[in-house]
Amino acid sequence: MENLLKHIELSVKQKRASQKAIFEYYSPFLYNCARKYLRSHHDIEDAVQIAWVSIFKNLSKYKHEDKFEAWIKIIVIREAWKVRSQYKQVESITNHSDVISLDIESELFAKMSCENILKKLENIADGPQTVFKMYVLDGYKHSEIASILNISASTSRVHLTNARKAFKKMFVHSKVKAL
Amino acid sequence: MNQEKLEQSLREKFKNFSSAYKADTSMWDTIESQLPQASTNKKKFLFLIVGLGVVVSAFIFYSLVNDNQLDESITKLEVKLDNYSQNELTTASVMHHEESETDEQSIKVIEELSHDTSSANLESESLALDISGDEEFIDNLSGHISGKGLYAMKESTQVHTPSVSDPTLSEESKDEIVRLGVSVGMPFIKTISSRIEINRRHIVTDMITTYVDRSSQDHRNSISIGLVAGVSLLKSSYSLNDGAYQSVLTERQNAESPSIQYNFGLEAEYNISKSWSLLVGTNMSFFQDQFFLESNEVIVDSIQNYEMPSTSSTGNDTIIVGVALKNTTRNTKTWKYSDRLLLRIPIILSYNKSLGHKSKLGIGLGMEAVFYQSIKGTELDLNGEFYDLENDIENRYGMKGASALFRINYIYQITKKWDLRVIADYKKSLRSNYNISAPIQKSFDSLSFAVGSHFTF
Repeated sequence: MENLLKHIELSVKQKRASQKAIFEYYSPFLYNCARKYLRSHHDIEDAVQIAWVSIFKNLSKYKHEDKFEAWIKIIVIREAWKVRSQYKQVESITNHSDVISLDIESELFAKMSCENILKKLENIADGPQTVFKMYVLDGYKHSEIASILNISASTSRVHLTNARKAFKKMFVHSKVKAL
Repeated sequence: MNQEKLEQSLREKFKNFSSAYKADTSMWDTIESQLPQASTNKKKFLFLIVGLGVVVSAFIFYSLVNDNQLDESITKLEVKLDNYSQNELTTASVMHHEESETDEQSIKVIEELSHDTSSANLESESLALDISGDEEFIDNLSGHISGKGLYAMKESTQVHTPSVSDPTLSEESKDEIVRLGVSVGMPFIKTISSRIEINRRHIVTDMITTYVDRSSQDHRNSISIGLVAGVSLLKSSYSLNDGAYQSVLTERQNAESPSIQYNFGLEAEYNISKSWSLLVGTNMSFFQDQFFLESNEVIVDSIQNYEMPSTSSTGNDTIIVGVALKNTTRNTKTWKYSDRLLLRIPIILSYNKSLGHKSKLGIGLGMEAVFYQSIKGTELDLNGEFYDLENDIENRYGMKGASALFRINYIYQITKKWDLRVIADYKKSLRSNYNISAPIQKSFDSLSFAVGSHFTF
């Protein structure tokens, strides 16, 4: 975005034109960030909207040495996590105690679309699922995940382990079905 | 495929994961409505308040300085009265001597004046005109003395007619308080200092009546201290900081209602001038905020082997055995309370207008600092849960708040030292004690009624 810093400066002063310019430019980016973490279009828009309010209210805290996209991405993920916490708990399959040792066929995995993969991941409980997505899809470290989701780093690791098990199990089932 | 490769592959797959999404205008409208206004408005408001404060302060300061100058001038005043006025005024001065120490200086002046009656600069006709008229200023009473205009003002008149049987008889007396002094022209307002008070008896018969106007007594620079007690009607207002709490906010707005607030406190009032006073107080207040929710829950119970008498198609009595479903509606009423104990410190600048002999009406503007001493109880939070205010694990609540204060009070002078006052305050919250991190900020505006009594030192 051209003149981003100027727009940020004016947005801090609550100049609506600059705020709207930033909103229009970065809304698709935030939407796609939130899309990985939430199920419905309605929920995604909710999270994005709340994130924008939070972004504009806290814009004065934004440090210019950070990348703006990374900064707003953290905010939208945090809001998505809050929206997720309002979901009814889905049946968790992370409680299965049997150890999954089968490998996933690369062919099967390659054929799946991103939407289908996200749909599959929705079967994992909220905590492990979100940590898995942040760690694997968005490349956050455990310390960063802990800070964003307000959990401990060790909890983040436990969630990731559980999510990995559940993930493997799901794709084994898919493989069996495919066969 | 091992785990690491799998995740690497997954990351690559999602690298270009995006969909065509266009910013929604209606979403922007919603966002905009939740954003604070441009700071320029705040600045303008701040400048306005500060400017107003400076003007009021300057006015008070100028009044005080001018009053002091007038005080000095008046002691040197050489007003010459004719014989007619002299006799009346001398009598009157004795009466005032008994009433107030502050009038002693006036008496001296009057006596001094009464000794020198030969060269009358003050026309007796002018003074007579003033005394017989209604409350008004006589601008051309005696021209100017040391650049300041002399004035006389009649404060009040009371006519007593003790003889009902024959009112045509001249059994009546007029008691009139006359003030003499000097006035100084100011750019926007005329300030008057009234240091000589004369109770002038215009006696038609030999009837003597004493009339004392306590409300006009000069309490300048005096301090009064008093107690006040009262109640406040509170009105809650909310501010949403976290959009996820929209439904919680709606529910709280429907279900919460603050109870009456009880106030008790100590006040000290400093009379800056005859009309202006500055009041500082310390008040303890207590109120409860109530949350009430009523809900109906339907409970379905199954009864196994339930036997139901019936009649078969052939007309025989029979019993149907099966599983019966029983619906029970459970009405649940929930009350939750949060208690708040506050220390309030108001500071009010008041303008007081005399209403008659013993009473005056004051109008004041000020600020009130609010210090929350304790907050106990709960507030509705996400997912129907209640947030514990006392523990406040998310640090949502601060202990300080502030309100703007508008006061109207009626003061009745019971005795020379004691007064009784009825007070009505409207307080508009300027700063909530909730932190900005609180998902919902709550503040209280109030309408207060109180009674109190002050002792003047």
